[in-house]
Amino acid sequence: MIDGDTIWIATAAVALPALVGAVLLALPRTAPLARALGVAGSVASLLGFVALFADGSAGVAVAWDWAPELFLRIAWRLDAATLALGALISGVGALVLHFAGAYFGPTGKGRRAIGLLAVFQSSMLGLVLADELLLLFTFWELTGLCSFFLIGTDSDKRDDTFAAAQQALVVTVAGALPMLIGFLVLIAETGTGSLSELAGRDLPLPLQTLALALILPGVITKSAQAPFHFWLPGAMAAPTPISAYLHSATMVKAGLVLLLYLFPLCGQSPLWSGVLIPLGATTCVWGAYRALGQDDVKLLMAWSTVSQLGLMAITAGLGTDLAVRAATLYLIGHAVFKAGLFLGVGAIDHAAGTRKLSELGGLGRRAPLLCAVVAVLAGSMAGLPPFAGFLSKELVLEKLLLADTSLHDIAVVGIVLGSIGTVAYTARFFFDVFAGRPRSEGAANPRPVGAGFIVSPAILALLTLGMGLGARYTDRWLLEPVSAALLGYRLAVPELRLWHGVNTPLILSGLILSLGFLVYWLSERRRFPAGPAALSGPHLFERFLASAQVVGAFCNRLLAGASPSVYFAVLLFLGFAPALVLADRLAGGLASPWDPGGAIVLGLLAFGLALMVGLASKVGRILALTAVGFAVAMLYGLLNAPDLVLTQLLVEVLTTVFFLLAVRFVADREPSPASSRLLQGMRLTFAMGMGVAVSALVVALHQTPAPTRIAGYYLEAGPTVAKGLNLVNLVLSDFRGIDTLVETLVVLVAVLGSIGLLLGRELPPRRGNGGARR
Amino acid sequence: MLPIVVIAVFLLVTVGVFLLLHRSLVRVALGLACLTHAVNFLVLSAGRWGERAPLVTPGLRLEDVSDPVPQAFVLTAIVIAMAFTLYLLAGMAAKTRKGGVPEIVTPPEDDGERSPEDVLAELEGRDEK
Repeated sequence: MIDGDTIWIATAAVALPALVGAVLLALPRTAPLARALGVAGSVASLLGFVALFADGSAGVAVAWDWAPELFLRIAWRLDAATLALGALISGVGALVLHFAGAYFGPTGKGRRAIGLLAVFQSSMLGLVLADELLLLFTFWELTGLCSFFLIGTDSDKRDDTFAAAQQALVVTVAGALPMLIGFLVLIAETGTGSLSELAGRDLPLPLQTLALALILPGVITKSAQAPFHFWLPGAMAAPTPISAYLHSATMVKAGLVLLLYLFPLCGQSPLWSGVLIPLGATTCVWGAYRALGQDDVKLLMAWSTVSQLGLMAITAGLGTDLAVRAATLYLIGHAVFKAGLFLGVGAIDHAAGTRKLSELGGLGRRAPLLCAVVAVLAGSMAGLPPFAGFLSKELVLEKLLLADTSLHDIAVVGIVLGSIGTVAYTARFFFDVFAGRPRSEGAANPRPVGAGFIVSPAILALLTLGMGLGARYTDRWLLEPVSAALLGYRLAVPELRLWHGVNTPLILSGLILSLGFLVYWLSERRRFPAGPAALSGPHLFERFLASAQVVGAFCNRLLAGASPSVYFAVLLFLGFAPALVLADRLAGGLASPWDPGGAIVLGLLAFGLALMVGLASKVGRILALTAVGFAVAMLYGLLNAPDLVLTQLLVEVLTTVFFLLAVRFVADREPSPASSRLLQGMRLTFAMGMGVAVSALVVALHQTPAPTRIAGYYLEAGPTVAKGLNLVNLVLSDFRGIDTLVETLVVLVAVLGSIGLLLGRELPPRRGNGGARR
Repeated sequence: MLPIVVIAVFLLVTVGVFLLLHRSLVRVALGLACLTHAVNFLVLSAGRWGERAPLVTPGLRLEDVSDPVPQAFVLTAIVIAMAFTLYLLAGMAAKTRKGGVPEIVTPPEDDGERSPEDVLAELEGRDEK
């Protein structure tokens, strides 16, 4: 199935937008060409995916088998689902880039935005198509990074854009860290990082739950689920085309797409419904409520996206194959109409010069084409027939009524309330913008909406209309192959149709619509309090960042600022305290037979150490150290290590000479009164604890049988390969000769450094910067 | 041999850490020397201790021989520790020559408690610049 051409086309389709983006970003002169180049790259990529989709390509296309043992390879998973998502991303991308060209004009900022959007597009494509989990993670983080730069595009103009970009980055990256661990757990437990291989595995339930618990934070933060939803409305500080792309069709969908990919793997875990349904319901209802209270149309759209992401999370969370199918249709339908609506908002902003509902109005008569386009898109969002939004909402309701999970009631309440809110805020958005009287100068005399502004949303409107009218073909050509690819088997369900007779979902839909309009009518000109400011996401986020600094300062004071003894103690403790769990092995180690010669050496060692601590004279302590060194050398002898004995004796003599030479030139500190009995006691207690830990480690290490004995190799190879009989010498000079060379280098550096320290003159104080040094 | 080595390591680590926790650099240097010995035994304990040294002699059996690789590592460690001690002593001598006492210096205390509000205020102040 996968031949060379397929691999080539898939790789090119993913990489082409990024190449175009790199050219745009690197060459400032390309500003007038930015739109044409960007759109061309996206369209070419779209055509690539459509061709592969139509061809029915399925399988893993390995573009570069870098290090498969380490699960590092660039491989694309080609099936109907990934290719359809790829086409969706590229298609919406082409339209958004076209719109961005008109929005920014041939300016440097436009070139930068289009270039970054194109790079972002490639990262998103990579995320959707990646087969290896680690590759997917790389692209996941790349989308986050690109979004940081994209949201911050206007940072020279507005102060809050940088904060918004930082917030989006920190929240999504923080969620991605546990996700990476989850991926690694999956890889470690299954021995494969390939999604297509994993999909066929039947994972044990505990592993499913563990992996899901680690991966869900990434999904929840990226797809803006409560309580991490706040970054999405904040990110509206970005220019409109960027919001249209990132926050409708692409980045916020990444989490849900990953969820759909993981369904065959982890779908049986109780966490699946247990986390997704409550969080999704909260997100869905709260998002709809907040959308109702917005004056800024773009923020309204942002909160609406939050709400609908919640709805998708609930649907996926129902955890049946039918629900996955419904969530897939909703995801695709939402990407189309929400991208169109964001672009429509951009066009409204361009025409009237404002995005505030309180200043707009009456645009219907003054910009009829725009009105018609937005009407279609808004109708799709509200779930009116015959648009795609209606289809997907019907499907969601149907599956909801069929589903049988313990959290069913929460799911129903969440989806119904969220949908009522959706109808209400959509009505409010549409009627406040296009009906009534204009409430400002700009709305009364709108600027003409040029083709650059209207073409993209119009195409998306036609698409959502076509998907709804041609429901049968939407199902046959798109939904059926995509859900079959996601689930791994074909679903036996009746074909999707626009009119399926009067049934419960339809009645429920009608009820939602009428209630939605009722809410809209009742809520006209009413305020929707956002809740206490102290509990708002951005505020809590700032508090969190600030407290991180406070905690950092506290740790710094505790560890670095305090006495150096504490500093050493913490390092030692972190290094060796884990070995304390082995302390029960000590008795076993001490129980084996004693060597009488060893006991004598041990006595010498203990005596030397006691003298080293107890003697007042410096020379005395140095000689005690020498005695300790000789005792150690004898121990080496008892362990049958003659080379170590020789080296230790030689080095001990040299060290003693160094110490004795230095003793004349080194002042020692008088023991200060601070070295009280209590302090000494504390030091000794801690030191004994470390002694127990390290000696326990010795026992554990020595009693752990090695799987193979490396000595065998050296016994064989020593006389034949290296032509020698002393194995230790051979290891040092032959088998690991380069190590020894580096060791020599270390000694040389130490000697040169010592010479420098002893002979060097003090440098004259530096001018300028020198004052800053203490 | 294991009990001997275990007790030796316990004594060496206890004295080494105890000396390391002092301010005087002379004591710290002595403590580090003790710790070096202890860690060398730790490395050796990862291998097998046989009845025979790792020298190829006629009739040598694999199960009798001590592992050569840990010994080679320890040999390297001994030499490097000596170089390190030399460097430490030279630094101490240099410090003394300048009229100081070689000891571990405590950095000045941080400026007291800081609340989240202080940090926020500081951040906002930075943004205004």
